[in-house]
Amino acid sequence: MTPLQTIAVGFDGSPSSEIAVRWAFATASHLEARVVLVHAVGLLEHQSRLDVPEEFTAAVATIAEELDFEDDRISWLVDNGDSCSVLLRCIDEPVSADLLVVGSRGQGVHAGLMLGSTSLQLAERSTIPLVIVPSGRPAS
Amino acid sequence: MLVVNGPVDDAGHEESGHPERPDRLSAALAGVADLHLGDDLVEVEVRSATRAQLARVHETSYLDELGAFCYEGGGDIDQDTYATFDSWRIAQSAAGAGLAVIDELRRRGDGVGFVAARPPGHHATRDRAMGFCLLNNVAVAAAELTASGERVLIVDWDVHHGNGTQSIFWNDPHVLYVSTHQWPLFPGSGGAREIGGFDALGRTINIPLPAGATGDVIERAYEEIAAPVVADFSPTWTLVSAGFDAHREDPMADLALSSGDFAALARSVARTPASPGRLALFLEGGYDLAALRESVTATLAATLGVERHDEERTSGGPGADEVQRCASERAIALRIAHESLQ
Amino acid sequence: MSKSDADQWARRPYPSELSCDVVTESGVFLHLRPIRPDDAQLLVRFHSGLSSDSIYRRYFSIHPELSEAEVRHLTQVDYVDRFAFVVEDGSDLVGVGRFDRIPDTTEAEVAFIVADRFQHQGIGLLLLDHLADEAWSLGITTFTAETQADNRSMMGVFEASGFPVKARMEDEVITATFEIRPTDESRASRARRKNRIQVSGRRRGDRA
Repeated sequence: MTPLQTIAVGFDGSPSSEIAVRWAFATASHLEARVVLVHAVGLLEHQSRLDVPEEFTAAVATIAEELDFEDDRISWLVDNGDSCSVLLRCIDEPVSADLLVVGSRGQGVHAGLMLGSTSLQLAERSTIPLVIVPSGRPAS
Repeated sequence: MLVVNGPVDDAGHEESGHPERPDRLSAALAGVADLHLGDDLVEVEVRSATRAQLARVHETSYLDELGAFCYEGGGDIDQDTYATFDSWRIAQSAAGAGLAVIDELRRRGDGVGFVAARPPGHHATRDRAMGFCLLNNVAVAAAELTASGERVLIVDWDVHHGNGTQSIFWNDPHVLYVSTHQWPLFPGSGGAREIGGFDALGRTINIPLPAGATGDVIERAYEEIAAPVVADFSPTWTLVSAGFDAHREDPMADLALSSGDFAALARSVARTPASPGRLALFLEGGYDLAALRESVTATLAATLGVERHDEERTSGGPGADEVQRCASERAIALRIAHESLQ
Repeated sequence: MSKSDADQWARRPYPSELSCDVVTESGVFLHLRPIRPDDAQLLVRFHSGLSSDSIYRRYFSIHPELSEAEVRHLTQVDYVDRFAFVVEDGSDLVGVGRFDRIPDTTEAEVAFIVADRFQHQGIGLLLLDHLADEAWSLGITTFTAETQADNRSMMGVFEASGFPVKARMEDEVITATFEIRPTDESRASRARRKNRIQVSGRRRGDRA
């Protein structure tokens, strides 16, 4: 089995995606892998140039510092599309991810629904291992 | 004669601050009214699309989840797409509007159809809502037509690639899907090498265009790349995913078309179906209300052969290279696919 | 009305205190009260006046006439596990709402039907309010209802109630489930509907 070298983690600024990034950094540390942060630019957010929003780089930098994760093992991929499709593209070149990581939607009304759930849709369609990092303690 | 669907009460499908809003439909209808067609305008009553009609195109589990989501009060499905309590009814009516217009055209054997409805549909896939779309109106109509043996050309000139329509008919040789779209742009798909599945190789045509592309580029792209394939395919029906967000005034994208360019596109497309009364245009995007209104008028006037003073056609923008590259990319992809089938 | 009629099936005295006069959104005065066994004739007449569409929505089938057994079942409630309210316009019924507790649970099936000419005037919601109040006081925590997927009227009533609706759709049937615990939303929803004034009888209003 080839070593796990590249982890692609979806990031959209939400608390659940921050939790996913934390897990990705912690895991990548152990495996000495690099992490690619993936941001999907939707229809409303459209930009002609695909830049990483500043508040995103700041948020991620904070997490990296906390976990002592090296800067040079972090890179960003910003692409047009829905989160699921953009993450799936990371399986191919140039990212060639070995593992996909996403946050869950968290608890709430739509738990268990495929509708709008990136994590559940990825579970159906990903051809590489997928980790869904839950948001918090399950409701008792 | 223009066949348009009767009014759909779409006021309940809206979200504060969201550009996909009821005013858009009012603007499009105002564009129709600006034609002053009098008796040459026929309105058909809209019935909701049935589950069976929707299920030709959408997974029933998706329909169930979408309906339940709306009945629970709706909300945001993803970062772009919302639904309200009323959206389930409204989306079903929008899909039904397309079917009603087509039924009427079939009955008359004459005229041009315009489906004035929202929410738009071409991003909706078999099992996903996205890009403001819930149900794929044009796909539902095309599927109804192919079920009765028709050969359907779908021309998608909305500025965004119609990933939903493409995926639905990816392996269906009875539908020829042609899309011009800005690239890179949401949804990120629609590369020239996406030519169709193995059962329908070449039956998907994607023409990605750079920001700033003008009308002459699109027209040339359509004539050089799409037209020969269309002629060969010989459609019996032509449906248009008529988004008007490629207009220079539109805030959602960066193409530079004028209403006159849409009119020119419409004239090209109107030549395609073999018999009259087999052309229907479906409203997709278009978020600047004035540009939308003007473009609807220009487009429909062109299909009806009505003379009017459109916005001047545009030229000189980038895209010629991309179009050329697109043609060769497409040829390469076709060759590779055919070779792998040997 | 002879007390013994209601006594026979009732597990508590006929709750006449739950009766009240109400005003619809269009200003019509109606009377709401718990059903009685001797409402049988009224119910049959009400039923025969319903459109086939309304009947289909309520019974999932074209159901031209109520059988005697059905009428008995619908009017002979025990006011504890099975409860129904009727809404009268003079001597005619214009709406009926009921809940039936699912045995050994704190869940009850809820259903209501309103005469066509009185639909979309808030009567369904009124019935739901009263049913929810009474059910809650009897220890029922959850209402559930099954209806056709296109029954927007019923789903609209649930949505307007302010209760947190959970919906599942399968094969063109919607199953709606919601807790009937009074919440900020449900109280706010009732406050907004001030035009439905109860002009006499005990007002159910807010409950802890």
